[in-house]
Amino acid sequence: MRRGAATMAIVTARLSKERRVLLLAACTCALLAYLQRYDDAPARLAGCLVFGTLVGVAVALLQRGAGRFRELELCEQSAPLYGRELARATALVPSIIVTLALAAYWLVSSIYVRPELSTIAVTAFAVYAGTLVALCAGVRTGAPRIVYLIMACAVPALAFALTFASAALLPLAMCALIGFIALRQYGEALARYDPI
Amino acid sequence: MRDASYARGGREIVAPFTITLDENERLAHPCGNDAAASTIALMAAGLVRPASGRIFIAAFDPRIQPTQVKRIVGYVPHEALPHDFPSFTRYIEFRATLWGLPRAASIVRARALLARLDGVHEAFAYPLVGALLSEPRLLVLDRPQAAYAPQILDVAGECAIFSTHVLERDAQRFAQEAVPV
Repeated sequence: MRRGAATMAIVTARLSKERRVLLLAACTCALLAYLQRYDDAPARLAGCLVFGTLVGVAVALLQRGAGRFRELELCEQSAPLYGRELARATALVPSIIVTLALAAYWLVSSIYVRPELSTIAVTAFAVYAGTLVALCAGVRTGAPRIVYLIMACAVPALAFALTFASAALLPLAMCALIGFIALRQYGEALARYDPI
Repeated sequence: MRDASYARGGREIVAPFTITLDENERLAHPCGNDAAASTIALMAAGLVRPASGRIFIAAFDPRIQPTQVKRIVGYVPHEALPHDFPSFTRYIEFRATLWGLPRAASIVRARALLARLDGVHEAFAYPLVGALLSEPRLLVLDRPQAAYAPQILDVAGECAIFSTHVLERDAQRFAQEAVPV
């Protein structure tokens, strides 16, 4: 009960500070959906993956260490919460923003072409996984940060390749596994996080 | 803290040092520079792990039992932080939720504590009230102003206080302003 309340409190506090980012992400994705070409299904999927991943990576990097939420971060770090609880709550924020940005994209694109459920699922799973990997980059510096960012961008690319090379469930399973591992990694990184 | 030290990027920020603080005891510790004062305060609060040596807070090791340590320690940072919360009440509600405290009772208690901090700037008063909300056994203050010492002691009650300072003179002044237990 308390854990859920703490998660909700962190998500609400962070989202209320991210309203502008949320609006900007949704409007950008809607605009990109408007400018997207619709005569080619792979190009459509690739475009959605690129836009979603860009939003996810940017929002994930803004979550920690950028000095934007210094007071909030100190409060969260000094609270009696485990790293994994903090990770789950923090990861929800970029996930919600990405969800709304993708929803804006699909809403606009549905004017031109009827979206397939499998495409929406692959996009969502791949972008969530990329965002979770990018969160790990936010708590690291130097070469590890760059490696995590490359991996965050590679996940949707891999999902895209698998979508056309195999059954629809394979990219979903891969993204779910990568997302789970990334979230675990993020939790462990937060448990050792050094606010200096 | 036993031979606790801290280094970053190969540069030693805190040289090994040992400090013991008993229950209800108060200690103003001169650290020599801002970086060391800030780091020692964070280490004392269990928020930063020492590069070497050990830290025990009420028999808990922050490396192994971080949540137990955080439950009994209140940390007040030095910087006049920009407020990430729209109001004092929202800040207290947020802290109460994270610490699992009853929300309404916490707001009442926080307002009572804030009323006793007359003359203390809100940039310091708000985090201090937030830190005292969970009735910690140890209050860690990062470079507090000596002028606030009487008010801090008034609201802190019986909990142990560990404060870091840059200069010996600042530490002595803070200790003089504070009535010894």
